[in-house]
Amino acid sequence: MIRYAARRLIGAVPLILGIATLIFLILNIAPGDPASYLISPGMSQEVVERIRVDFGLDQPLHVRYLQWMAAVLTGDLGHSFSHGMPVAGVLLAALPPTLALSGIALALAFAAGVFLGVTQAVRQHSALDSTLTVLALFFYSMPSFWLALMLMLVFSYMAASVWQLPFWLPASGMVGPSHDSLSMMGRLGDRVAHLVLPVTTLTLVLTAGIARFVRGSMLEVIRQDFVRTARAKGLPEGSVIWRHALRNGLVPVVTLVGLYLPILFSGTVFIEEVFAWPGMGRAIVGAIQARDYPLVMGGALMFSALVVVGNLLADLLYAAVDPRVRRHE
Amino acid sequence: MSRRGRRRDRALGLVLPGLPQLLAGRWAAGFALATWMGFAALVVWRRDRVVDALSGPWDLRLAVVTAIAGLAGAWLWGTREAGRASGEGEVRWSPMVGTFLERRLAVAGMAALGAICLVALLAPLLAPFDPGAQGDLVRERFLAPSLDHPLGTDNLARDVLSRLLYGARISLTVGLLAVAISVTLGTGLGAVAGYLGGRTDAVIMRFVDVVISVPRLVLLITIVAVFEPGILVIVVVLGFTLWPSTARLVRGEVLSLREQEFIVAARALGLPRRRILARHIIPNALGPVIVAATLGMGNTIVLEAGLSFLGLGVQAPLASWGAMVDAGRANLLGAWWISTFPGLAIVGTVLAFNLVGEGLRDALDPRHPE
Repeated sequence: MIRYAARRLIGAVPLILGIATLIFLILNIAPGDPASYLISPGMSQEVVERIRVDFGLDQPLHVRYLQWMAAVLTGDLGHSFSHGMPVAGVLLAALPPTLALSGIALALAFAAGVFLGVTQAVRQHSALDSTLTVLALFFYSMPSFWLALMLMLVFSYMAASVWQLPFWLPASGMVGPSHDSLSMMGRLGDRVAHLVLPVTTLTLVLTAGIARFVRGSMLEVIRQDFVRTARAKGLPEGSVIWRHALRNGLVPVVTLVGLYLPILFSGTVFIEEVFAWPGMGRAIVGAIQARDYPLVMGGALMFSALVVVGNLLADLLYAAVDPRVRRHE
Repeated sequence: MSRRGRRRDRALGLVLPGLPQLLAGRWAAGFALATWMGFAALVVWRRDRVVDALSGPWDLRLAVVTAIAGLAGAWLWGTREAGRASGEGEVRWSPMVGTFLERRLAVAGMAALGAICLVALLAPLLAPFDPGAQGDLVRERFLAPSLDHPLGTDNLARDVLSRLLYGARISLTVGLLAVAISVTLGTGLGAVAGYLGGRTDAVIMRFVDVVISVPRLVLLITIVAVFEPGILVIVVVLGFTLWPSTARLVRGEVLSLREQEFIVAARALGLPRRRILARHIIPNALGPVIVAATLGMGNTIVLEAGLSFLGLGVQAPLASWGAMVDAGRANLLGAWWISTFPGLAIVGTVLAFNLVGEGLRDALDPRHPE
């Protein structure tokens, strides 16, 4: 197991370097000068030159490439001029909110997806099954940014000003304006309230796909002999499904976690943008609008690194639950 | 039936094709009749624009041609049905088509797709207003849905329904072109990688691994950031970010096909590699690709809308559904209709593609459960 883990870990390094190369090429091969957005027509030649030197744009392409790769390896990703601080600092500050949002949503989505998928598989072809299938496809087809706006409209704006309910959900940020003056429990409640809408949106969009996958996986397992054996020896149906069948049905679902990470983070970018959530998605969208290329490069690299690390964890988890994997490799 | 009655029926059938059969209790003919009447009503209702089309812009001319083709098609269908006794000349479809048609949801999705394509083509005839025309900014901004503006007006006093109808073109065109790029690249490179193996395979698949590890939206916004956003850039970039998953899929198919007897036989016959790939391997690997491409259409349409929502996609005068959702954000409570309806249009279109994709999977991929 340790040898398998070590091999996977070493395999991830060239992948990260490849991603860093891809990001560099995208931002440096494109026509036009990254500095041109900072240069206004009235600037003197001297100032223009200094900007170009500051960004290292006076260097030839291969030198810049080596500088960038060295920066990636040392973790020094350059200076973000829209934030006026190092890129690594901006990203590290934005990482915890993103991880909190996407982690909670992923956990909830898998819990709900497994429960719904198993329920559907057990009652295949029932009215409940077909209703849930259609419902899942409906949410699967929904753009997350639009669902976010609709939930915001109903549970925040309309609840507060149209129906004048005593309680409504906050629509932006991580904490309310009066957060610091609240008691300990009040602060916790404030944070949870701010999490509800973004997490719900993300969970709804993700659950649909997971439920569909779990349903298919469980349908294959339920037909197998060991399930019939479990029934034959008189185990209660609940135990057959949730203990014996589910354990085997979940094995392929573990790989799904890895496959879902890119989708999850794409969704997170939209959710953070709509709910003004101070995470990496909002940072990268802001960086693009400000033409802050160092931050764009760093943010894209960070998101990809999260995917690679997540995939690695999913692979290791897969090897842990299914010994056949480590033996074959 | 008397000869007079039959002649009367035939005359009636020329004006209202399908009506005689419908009266005789055959429902299918009623569909031809409804289509014919729908197109006829549209042409009569928008007769001014139909006349203008002779010297009008190309998209209006295309819409009129579509309407006339629809009229002619429905008429031929309805009248041809008239001469046919029930059961005669029934087409025998392949079992795949049968499987697809058994899935009611897939058929509904197909019908919805047809309707959406028609809307995109007919937009210049259907739309009540010019999608780009701003109304009176003082009195016509943020008008709630009414008879004049069925879906209300937006922040620039433009008619939301008209923009919605025109937006269908952007979504469908961008989706179709991007998926075409990705299917071509992905099938070609995936098949080459799988069939040749060795170093070629390693190089292509490592590149695929790299591209797939970057979340697609992050990759998209990074690329779009360095180019001036525009519809061509969006299409190319969406295609470029989708092809690696197609390549992975095709490679898997090719790896299992490569070892099968008919390919071994082709090789033993001394057929050139290019011919084996193009004539024997790729056509047999296409089933899953078609399914993935259909599902990819939905995904791509959502992403195009997302880019436009972030202001990085299709630019201002063009009406994109994503940009319309964004336009309603600033006044969500006061004018909910600006964001709500374009979003519903996205959901409907993407759902239709996904339903068709699911149906195709059941029909084309016998290994898939159920």
